[in-house]
Amino acid sequence: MDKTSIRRVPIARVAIHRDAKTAFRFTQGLKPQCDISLLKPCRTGTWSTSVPQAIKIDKFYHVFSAWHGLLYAGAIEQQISVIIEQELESYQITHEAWRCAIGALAFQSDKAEHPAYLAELAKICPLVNSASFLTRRFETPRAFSYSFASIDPKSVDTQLSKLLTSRLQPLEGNQ
Amino acid sequence: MILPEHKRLKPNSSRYSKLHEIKRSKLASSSKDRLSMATLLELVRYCDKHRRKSNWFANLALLSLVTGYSFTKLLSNEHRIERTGLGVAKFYSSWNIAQTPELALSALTLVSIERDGHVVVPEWLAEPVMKMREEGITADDCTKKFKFFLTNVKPNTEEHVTPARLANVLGYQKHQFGLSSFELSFIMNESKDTYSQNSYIAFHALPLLERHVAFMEQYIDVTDVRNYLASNVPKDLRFGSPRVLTRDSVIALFDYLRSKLKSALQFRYDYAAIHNCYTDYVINLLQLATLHRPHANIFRTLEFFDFNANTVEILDKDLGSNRLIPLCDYALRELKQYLKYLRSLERLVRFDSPSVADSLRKTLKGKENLFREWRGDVLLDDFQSLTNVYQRDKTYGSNWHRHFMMTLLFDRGVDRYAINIYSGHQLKHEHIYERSKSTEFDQLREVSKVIEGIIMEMNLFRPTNMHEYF
Repeated sequence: MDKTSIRRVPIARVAIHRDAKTAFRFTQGLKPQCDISLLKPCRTGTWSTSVPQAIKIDKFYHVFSAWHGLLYAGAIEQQISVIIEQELESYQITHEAWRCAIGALAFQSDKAEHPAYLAELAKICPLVNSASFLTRRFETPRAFSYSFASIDPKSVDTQLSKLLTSRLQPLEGNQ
Repeated sequence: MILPEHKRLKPNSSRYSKLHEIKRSKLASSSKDRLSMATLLELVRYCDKHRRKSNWFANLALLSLVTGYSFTKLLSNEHRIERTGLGVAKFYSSWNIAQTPELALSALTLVSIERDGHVVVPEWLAEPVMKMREEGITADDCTKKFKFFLTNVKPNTEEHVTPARLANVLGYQKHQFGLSSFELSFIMNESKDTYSQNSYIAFHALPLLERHVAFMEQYIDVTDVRNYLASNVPKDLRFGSPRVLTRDSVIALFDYLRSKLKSALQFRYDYAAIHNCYTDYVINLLQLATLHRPHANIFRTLEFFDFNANTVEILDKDLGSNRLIPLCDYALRELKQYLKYLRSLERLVRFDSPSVADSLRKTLKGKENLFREWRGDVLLDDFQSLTNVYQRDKTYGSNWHRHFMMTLLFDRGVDRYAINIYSGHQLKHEHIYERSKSTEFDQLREVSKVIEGIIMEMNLFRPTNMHEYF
């Protein structure tokens, strides 16, 4: 990742890179453990000190990592800092994006739903359960989940089932 | 003040003369063209006497009296009459009923109707007229003779019985027998689009036929007809629209929409699928509540909704045919939920789909259409993938809402003139005596409440708090 530079860019010109979209949406489902909107923005323009990596395509800066600060509007100024990257392959962007998602999950998610999210992550992005990210490989998303999160194996299934059920809550609203 | 000669309208030269003529032909109860009961009873006595002498004109006159058909129409082969061999003859409607649609989902069924709508008259009355037809006698051949036959009716009232006045009797007396103009139009076999509502409603046949018999009974013996109705006409027989879904089908359809949304929600990363499924549901519900036709730019922009008066202005046909109708609380609540959801979605996707977020902002400001489909990375101008109920319908879904809801409103006895206005129909040849002219907006609110009741009773699936979902 040579030829990088940090630049302040208008928030209206920031978008999530196409190859990072699923990872970004995955992190949108997580719940932060505190009210991040209470935090004042730092020098990056967001509450997070991490500076997102981005590629400029046309007039937009397409972010593909370190988007923690973008997720909660209360901590975003009119301009934020991004690292401008040049000429990255699609797989490199995806890799960075999922690493960011794992990071978000490891540090921010509600602990009660942690294993369920891990199991889901391993399902929707098998790449995560590989040597690229982990020091050892797990046979199943379930195994990955409870090993990674160190929790009673049986509760993974229960929690995943609870997570999926909670998503259907809007459908329970019959008159 | 006397207008100068050049400013007076010349009779029959105005472009309104045709309309004026139509207005004059209407059947106000004070009309001088109305035949009094005394005259009609004298006519019946006269016809009975001549009928026994096998004078076919007597049957022709009585038949015109009881069916409202002109004698020209009675002698025209375009209007089908059929003997049943059971003491009655059937006068078939010549309405061009829409094709029975093939349903797109197996869980759906249509209300069963008999396509050949008809009224029944005693066979002895219709028989000579059928023979006249068989012998090729047309109205042109016997106009003078028939008029002459009628001039010999000499009532004490000194009213003149003419073929036109005879055919109009049913129109004057319809109120006495609870027949609406819509039903009258069916009995008289007027063109279906005279009252456009007739294209949409699958109506119960028996009550209509019984009211018609009650009218006929004033003048002729209807024993055969009554026996026929009692033993041969099922209580659930309906005529009219073949495109009416059953109530259970509508519930099943909303269950189907629910299952689509359920699948989309479980794989939460496809926001486009969630948005499209939810929008499909909301549009269907609002169509049900407003009788909106499937149309491009359905419901147009937010600017056409008035949240103070709870109304919506609908344009679902040609320009200039818009209508203002009330929104029931149920529909309003769903719409507000949807707006909350759009606001939430706009915040959610501002980074990963900036173009969609930008379109949503414009939608919420009322600058662009309210209901839009998410395809690829953009919101289309309108929603083009509504669930089809009838196969082979194109682009904007199926027109099932109007057929279903108007039939249910009719079944609940809602004023048909109010339904007419609510559904955006204008009566042809409407004149100052027609009730549509005096229908008030409050009556439309009542229609809206009945619609709300129907929707509530079906206990349709209703997503809640979709704005909190993401």
